[in-house]
Amino acid sequence: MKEHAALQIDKLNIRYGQLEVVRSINLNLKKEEVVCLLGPNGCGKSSLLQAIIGLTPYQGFIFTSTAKIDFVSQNPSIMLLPWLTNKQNIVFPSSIKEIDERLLEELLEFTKLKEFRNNYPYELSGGMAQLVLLTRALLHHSSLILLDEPFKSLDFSIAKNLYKKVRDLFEKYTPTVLFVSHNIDEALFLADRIIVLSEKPTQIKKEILVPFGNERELGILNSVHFSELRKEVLNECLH
Amino acid sequence: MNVYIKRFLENYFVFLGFLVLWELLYLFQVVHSLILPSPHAVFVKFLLFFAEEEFFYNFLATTLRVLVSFILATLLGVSFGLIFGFYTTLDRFTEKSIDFFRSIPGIVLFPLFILFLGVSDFSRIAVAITASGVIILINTKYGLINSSKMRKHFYHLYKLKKSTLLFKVLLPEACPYIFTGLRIAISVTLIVVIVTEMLLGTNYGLGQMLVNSQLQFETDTMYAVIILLGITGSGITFLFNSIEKKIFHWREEK
Repeated sequence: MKEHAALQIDKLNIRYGQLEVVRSINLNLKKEEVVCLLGPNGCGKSSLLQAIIGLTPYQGFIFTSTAKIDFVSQNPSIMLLPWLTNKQNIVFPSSIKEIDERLLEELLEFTKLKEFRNNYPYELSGGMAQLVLLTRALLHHSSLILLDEPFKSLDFSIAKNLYKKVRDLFEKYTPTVLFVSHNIDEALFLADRIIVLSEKPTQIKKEILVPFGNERELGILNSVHFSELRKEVLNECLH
Repeated sequence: MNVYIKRFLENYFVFLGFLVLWELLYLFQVVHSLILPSPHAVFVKFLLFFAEEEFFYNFLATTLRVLVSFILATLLGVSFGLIFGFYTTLDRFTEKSIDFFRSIPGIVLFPLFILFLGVSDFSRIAVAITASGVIILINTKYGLINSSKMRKHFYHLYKLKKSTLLFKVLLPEACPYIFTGLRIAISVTLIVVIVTEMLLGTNYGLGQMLVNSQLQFETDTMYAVIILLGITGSGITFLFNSIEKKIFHWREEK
């Protein structure tokens, strides 16, 4: 495994019976890097993430530098335990004595989940529920966080406020993040690097570095530079 | 019309109709009054129960048998259900045998238990435990087996201990199933205990009271006991439903 790499994928192939989903993908993630896998619906992005956590069988090699991996599903209700309050879900599987309470308070404050701490997951919107999962990952110092289309079910006005919150969380707590999306704006705002994927069987079409620096404001969504990059990424997606 | 009166009428319309029909049958002497006494005579008898020492002993005997059987059936059913639900290999070896025993009506095992344990409360309780324990075991097992496979896979990421995975992730999800099993099981326990009391070998119990009153043509007592059992059964169902709603609020809202 390469030095400073948090995740290294070599010659990854995924097949479901006769169907070839992913073909010979090579990918490296540096520590503290935020990378987006951008591709059309059904191209196998989620299968790739599931292979990393061992949910999908694959051929090839996946190396991670950490045992602390967390996964934020596009369907948070599967991962949250509905009989626990949001705070208990964030703390789980540790007990309240085992966690850094100061960090917990800070995260709850930062994510504005404080007022919902004693509510149950079914009382939250989809985006807030995903924020609970992300907070859990950060509280437990997960070094590699995988996000599966985190804002898929949200409309743009709600999602863009979450982009800012999530990007700030990445900035402050510096985990290595690999997320999949089919939304170009989301990819450009959140990621340091975008990997554009092809249709099935999925291969890497192009890698694009996102030049917006670390601290990002929502204003960049309206900038000329952002529009030009959006055009470039869109062209890559379409060709 | 007041909402509560409307709801009461909706819930008890059939029951009230049944009472009216009963009163009419009595008034027009369609059936001999010794076989079918008037509803008000039965009601008076029902109220008088609470002043009778003998009724108290009968009620206490049945209640104790039901409670002991139900508690033991719960302990055994939940424990074995958790084992078979968690260790599915073990379940494969036992599934057909459990299905076989489930298919046997519990009450027919009473003569068998009498052979082994004698004519005593042990036999009665053993039959009740067998009949209701199997229901609890099956509900617990399927509650665990049907818990979300995706969730189970995801929680492997946290490298949880087996006990943590079982007691903190799988068991709470299975609890509504288990609770449904408990609700059915307590009704079955009550039925089995009453029937075994009716058969032989005891001087006390509502089942025995029912048989004696029928043999002595004290039919008002017989009907009053039947109504008492109906009220007890409905009360238990109401209690379980209320607890279920309160504890498993997250299940409805899911």
